[in-house]
Amino acid sequence: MTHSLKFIEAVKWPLKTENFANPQNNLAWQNKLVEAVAGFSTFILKQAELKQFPEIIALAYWFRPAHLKQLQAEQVASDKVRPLVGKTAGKVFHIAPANVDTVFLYSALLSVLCGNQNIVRISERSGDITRMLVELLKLYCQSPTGKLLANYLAVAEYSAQLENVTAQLSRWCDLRVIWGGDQSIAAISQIEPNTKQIEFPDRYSVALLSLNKDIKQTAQQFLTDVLPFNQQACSSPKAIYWLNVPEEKQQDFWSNIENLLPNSRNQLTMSNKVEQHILLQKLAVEHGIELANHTGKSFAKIKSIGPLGQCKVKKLTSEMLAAHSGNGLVLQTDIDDVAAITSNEKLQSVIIDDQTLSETLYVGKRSVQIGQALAFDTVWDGQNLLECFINTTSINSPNS
Amino acid sequence: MQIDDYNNAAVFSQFPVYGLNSVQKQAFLQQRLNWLTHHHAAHCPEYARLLTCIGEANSPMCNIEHIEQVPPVAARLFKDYGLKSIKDDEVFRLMRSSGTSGRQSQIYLDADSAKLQSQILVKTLQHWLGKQRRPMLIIDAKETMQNKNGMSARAAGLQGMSFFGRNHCYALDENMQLRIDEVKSFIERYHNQQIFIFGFTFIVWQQFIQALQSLGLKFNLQQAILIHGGGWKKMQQQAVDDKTFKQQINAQLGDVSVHDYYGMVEQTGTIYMQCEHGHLHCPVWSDVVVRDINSLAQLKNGQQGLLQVNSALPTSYPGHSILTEDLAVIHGEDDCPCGRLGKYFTLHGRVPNSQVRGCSDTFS
Repeated sequence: MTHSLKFIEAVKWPLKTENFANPQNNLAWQNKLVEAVAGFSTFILKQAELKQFPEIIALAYWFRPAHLKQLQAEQVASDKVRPLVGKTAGKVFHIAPANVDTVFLYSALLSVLCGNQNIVRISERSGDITRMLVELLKLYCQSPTGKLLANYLAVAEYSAQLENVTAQLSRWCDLRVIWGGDQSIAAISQIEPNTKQIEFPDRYSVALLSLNKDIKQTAQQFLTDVLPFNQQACSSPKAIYWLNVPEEKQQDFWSNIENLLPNSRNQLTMSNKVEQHILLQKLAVEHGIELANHTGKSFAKIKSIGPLGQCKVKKLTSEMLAAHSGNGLVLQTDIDDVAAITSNEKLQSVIIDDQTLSETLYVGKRSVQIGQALAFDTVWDGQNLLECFINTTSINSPNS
Repeated sequence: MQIDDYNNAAVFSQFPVYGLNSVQKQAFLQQRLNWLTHHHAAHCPEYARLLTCIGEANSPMCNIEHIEQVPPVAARLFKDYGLKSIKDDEVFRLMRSSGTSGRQSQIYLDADSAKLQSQILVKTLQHWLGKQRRPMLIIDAKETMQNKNGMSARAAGLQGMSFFGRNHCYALDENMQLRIDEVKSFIERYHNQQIFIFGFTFIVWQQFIQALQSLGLKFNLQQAILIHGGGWKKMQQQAVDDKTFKQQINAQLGDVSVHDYYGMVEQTGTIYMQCEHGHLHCPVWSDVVVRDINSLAQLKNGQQGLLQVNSALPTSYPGHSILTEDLAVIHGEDDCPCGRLGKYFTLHGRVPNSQVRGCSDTFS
């Protein structure tokens, strides 16, 4: 059954071609489809002025032709793809988060590659990078290689208050993908509750550092992880656990951070700085956070290091980390055993600078090398996206 | 005058509004603010945790030596937590901020705080308006006051101010349009008396002054006074500054002395009135500090930063020292050419709000 994509409500379609409304053939991992997606990567990497946006470059790099060829080889070899080809494409509705500007495209393009037609909802509060990406997509879809992509990808923009629109798009799709947070997931799950869905709820991530290697390089890698998306991605490190690291070495790390910051692109502004001050107070009021090594001569303050803020605390709890709202505040605490990191359902990535630690870690959904925290992976938050997208009907509906 | 009678509201509420110099003020406020810090630490667990955040159970922040060291609470915390130092059954009034977007501040008052706040407000305004009640023109609608969901800051402001007038005339109807006949007959009747006009800055400008201009109506008031407040954000969007605002008011209404004021629902009763020289003045019950946005270190006079407002009044909630998100410059203390004692300052807008609040919020 096809559903009309016409709305009375105020829905903008920053990207939707006429052809999108027609049922499309399932071209899962077929050459022309892989080329159409890889072409977008090439299109971005050709434009020198985009070099200043590391988030966009990272996305383009992930979808580079060589990487897609490798994924294609793995997928085509599996027996799941062949029976789908030539059938009608599945339909996936992605609800993108407002805080992490590029994640919606990873998820949507992977789903395109798996043979689905996709509608991505962006919020009117979405950031500049999202808007830039949508403009780039629009341009690319007008090119000869891009045309095919437009049959499989559309972008809608509307306010979340228009629940009718969410309901209609949910009826249109075979699978709904919701990128957090918890409240949004709860609210959206109420709309057309029988819709099959995968969800990515609120998560937090931490760094576990031993500073056994070059400190300057480690500092640079830490900035790569902490600065994008104003530290609000679920893989952004909210805190550093120093594993038996002497104070002088930690100071050295922060001096390096301070020296590297002026040349590190970030979007942190004066308002993020004010949010850092407020966050420390909120963590104290709500979760009893206590500063370590305090002189008592002034009230509790963060230490400002350029646009970042840091403070050493006596103890970190999961509740504090889950309540951390980003904005560039790095909490830190000293530990002498990895067991001091509390396990929690919401702990996603443990970012490490010493590969040997991954063997002793039993917390978190993944451990990742410092500098790679935000690198996308087809297994995300414990869910294999390729499997989810290859056969959209294989996911259990919530009531089955 | 007993300056060390810091804990006796009946005494300190009688202090001259702009009459203590920095040394006398320090003597009074240092003791008063320390007492308040102790009091709130003992009665408001959230506030106590904020003090022990520096890692000492008996926080040295309870015993500061200078009033500028008192630990401030971020204004935002009053939006997120019901901070109060009284029991639930002692709540006499719940005040809310007028925020149109996002969450509102919630300020809990018991009978004593409510009384003290209004006493101090009266004292402060009498300094500017005199003790005689004046015929009062309110640039708002009567309907604004009738909000059933607790009292809005705008309604609280109108209600508080209407006390200083008599024979009130509301200049606007329920649609915020000019009630021209009522305004005309009010001004005809009282034109040779000292009329008191009150309204919120942007409403005065757009719904009153501009409406009069488009009707080509001018009046010739004598020794009238206009008090207005509520912020300059919308005025700046229309590129109207303090000077233009005053000029247009005088052009339209005649001899009116115009005074902006600054205040917030988190410290109702403590207001900062603008003097003839364009400076906002701390009354004797208040002191301000400007802090560096990055380090929160105290800045010197003339430097712009985040404004911290300290007040001797709040006993029912821990609001005696608040770090606002407003930017300000302190120009001096005790030496404003207007002759009033205390610190004086100007405001320079707000820190712009960050667009995305918490983590991955797709649902708004």
